[in-house]
Amino acid sequence: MAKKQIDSVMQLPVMPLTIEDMTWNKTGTWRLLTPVQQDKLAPCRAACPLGQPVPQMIHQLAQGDPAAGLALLMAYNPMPGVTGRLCYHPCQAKCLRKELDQGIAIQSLEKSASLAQGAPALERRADTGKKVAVCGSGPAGLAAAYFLGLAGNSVTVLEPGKTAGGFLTQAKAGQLAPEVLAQETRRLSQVAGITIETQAAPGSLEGMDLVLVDAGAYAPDSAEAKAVKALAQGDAEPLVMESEGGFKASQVAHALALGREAANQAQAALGLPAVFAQPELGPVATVEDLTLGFFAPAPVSEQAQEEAARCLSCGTCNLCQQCALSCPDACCNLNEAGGTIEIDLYHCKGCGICSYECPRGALVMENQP
Amino acid sequence: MKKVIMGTETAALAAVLARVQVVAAYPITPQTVTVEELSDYIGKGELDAEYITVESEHSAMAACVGASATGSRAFTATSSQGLALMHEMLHHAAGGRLPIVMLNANRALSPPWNLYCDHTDSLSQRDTGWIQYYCCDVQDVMDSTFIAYRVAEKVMLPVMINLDGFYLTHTSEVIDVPSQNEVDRYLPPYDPANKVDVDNPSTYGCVCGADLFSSLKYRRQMETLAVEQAWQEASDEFAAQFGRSHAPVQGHRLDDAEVVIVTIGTAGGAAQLAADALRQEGVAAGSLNLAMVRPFPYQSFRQAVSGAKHLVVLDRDVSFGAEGIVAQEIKSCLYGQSQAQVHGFIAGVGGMDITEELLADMTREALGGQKQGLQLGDSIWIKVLP
Repeated sequence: MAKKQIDSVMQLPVMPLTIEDMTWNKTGTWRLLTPVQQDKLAPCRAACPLGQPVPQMIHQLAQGDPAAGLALLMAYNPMPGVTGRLCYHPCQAKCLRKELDQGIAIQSLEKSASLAQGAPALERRADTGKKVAVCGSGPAGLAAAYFLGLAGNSVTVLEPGKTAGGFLTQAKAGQLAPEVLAQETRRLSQVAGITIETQAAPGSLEGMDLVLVDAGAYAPDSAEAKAVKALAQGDAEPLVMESEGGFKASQVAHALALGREAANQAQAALGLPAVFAQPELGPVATVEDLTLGFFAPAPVSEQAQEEAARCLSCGTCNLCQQCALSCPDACCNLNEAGGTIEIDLYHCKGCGICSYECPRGALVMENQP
Repeated sequence: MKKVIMGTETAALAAVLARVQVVAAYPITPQTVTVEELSDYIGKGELDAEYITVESEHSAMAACVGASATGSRAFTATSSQGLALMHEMLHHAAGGRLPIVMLNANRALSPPWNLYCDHTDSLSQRDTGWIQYYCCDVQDVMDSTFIAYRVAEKVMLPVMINLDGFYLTHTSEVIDVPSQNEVDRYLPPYDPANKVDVDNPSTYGCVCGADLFSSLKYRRQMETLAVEQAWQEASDEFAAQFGRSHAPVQGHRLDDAEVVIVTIGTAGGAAQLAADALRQEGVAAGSLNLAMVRPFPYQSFRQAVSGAKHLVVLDRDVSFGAEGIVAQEIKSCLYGQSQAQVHGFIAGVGGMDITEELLADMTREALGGQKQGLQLGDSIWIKVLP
């Protein structure tokens, strides 16, 4: 809108007040520093062996949408229901909420998200025409197969035993019930469009472009290891997933990460682009990045949505809109469709109040016009 | 209805009859009774208004500024030190063109500490842009409150109703209290063209650059100068309905007066008696109660004293380094307009009684009689140590 022209004293308002709006005044030209939303790496996420987007997942739970939280997890982790039960949760050790009262029950929330009904519709790349066999169905093998499936390959997991899951089938029943493992296996194969053959016999590798072998958790001379390796016999150059000393049940996330990395190696061997990349995030958020005064103490809750609402979302914008509330010029606006905060740079003067006020240190002032 | 009532009680009752919607006030002697009475009226549900308790007079006026900006009829009351503390907000109220009405009980400013009548408190707020009206008696307190709201809401400027501390605040008189219906007929509800409205947002007291600032001030001055006429009309309409007039300039035996005693506030009564006494001595005396000091009623005043040769001006105040403030104002008004000689007397500061005899003696001195006080600069100080 253009500035209103006033030609006589009697056109002035009696009261000294603004007449019409002030958008004609492009105060953005005064700006020296510019607010930029720059999420830092939440310490929980930094500690996760899989680098899962923990604050974002918890935000979805707090919003009452566990299915959306599950979809976020499954872009990183094919078996959140397993890690949500077995993992040694290094995330929780790093939770900054402990500076205020008690840390967030992150593992319980991960499990809670995994209980969402149905399978998330993750993006699966176009068919590559490549056929891949994964011998052995431990978490590493399943993760490799899962990501190779998402990459558009035709993937078959060959398991010599009766049940898919590798060493997970030997987990204590109190930790991981067989039904849960079955459900998780079913869901990951559905999401990635892969096939799992149990009681597979050697000699099924006809026409495969690449063979992967997962015998990681078993002793090399054990019967299980020998059975898996027997499946791969006949392939000239199988890609073997190995880990020194194998995995304990609590280290399942490391096994999954090994498989995810093997998927990228397999893609390279097939002459295809990597299927998984950890996003580049800023430095790890510290308690100094938070303004703890914004947060009221609240007891740990058994109820997932309530517990999720306790998350401080360290270094990670969760659309709390404190910036919008603080901006003297109404320049921080929520874009509901995009789920982002948009800054009106035509009018932002660069005062920095939004950055100062951000309770989680996700807005920085950059030395740029 | 006739009632025996004190000045401070009258101010509260007048605010009730004016149906004020927001009261934010801090008690201070000699205004306290007004605040107590208003909180009682609101507490008992006899006045449908919001009473905002505040920690200071600055906040009281700030609350009234906010209330008035939302379109409410706001009222407050203060005195002396409290008025001085409000100073910043007084500019805000007038500059914001907010029709707040305030009672000020005139009292001396410390130090030294003194609770009694003195006009320095309100007169040193002359330049804040408020309309200033000085009451001469208790009936004037009641009536001028209604006129004040009527004028304020028409011209969009705040009004300060001044009561001489103790002489008026704590004096009971028989007055006529109009019925609510009568007051409603004279004073319609406040319905401003602009008010703070979330559905129609606007910045009040916004920034204004040099391009428009002087034009805004020019317009405010134009509309402030027109208040003399607006108040006269509102007073005439009040007189038509209630039979009592409260004009900016109130004269007594001025028609052929060669010497005029000019006072503000309650001294007007003694001035009338003094003029009457002087008439008996053959002096063509009259008296003039200058009820409105801001805006200065130039037209009415010049006309009222057009035949006078001497003006005896009482100041219950002093502008240090100059002279009495009222005398200064009158000299400024008459400069180049009149040959009358202005005799400035400073008396009654800090609560000294102004009697008929004192005013008559001052007039005799002005006409060449016995000296009553000590000449200092352009003023004669009465009853000071030699």
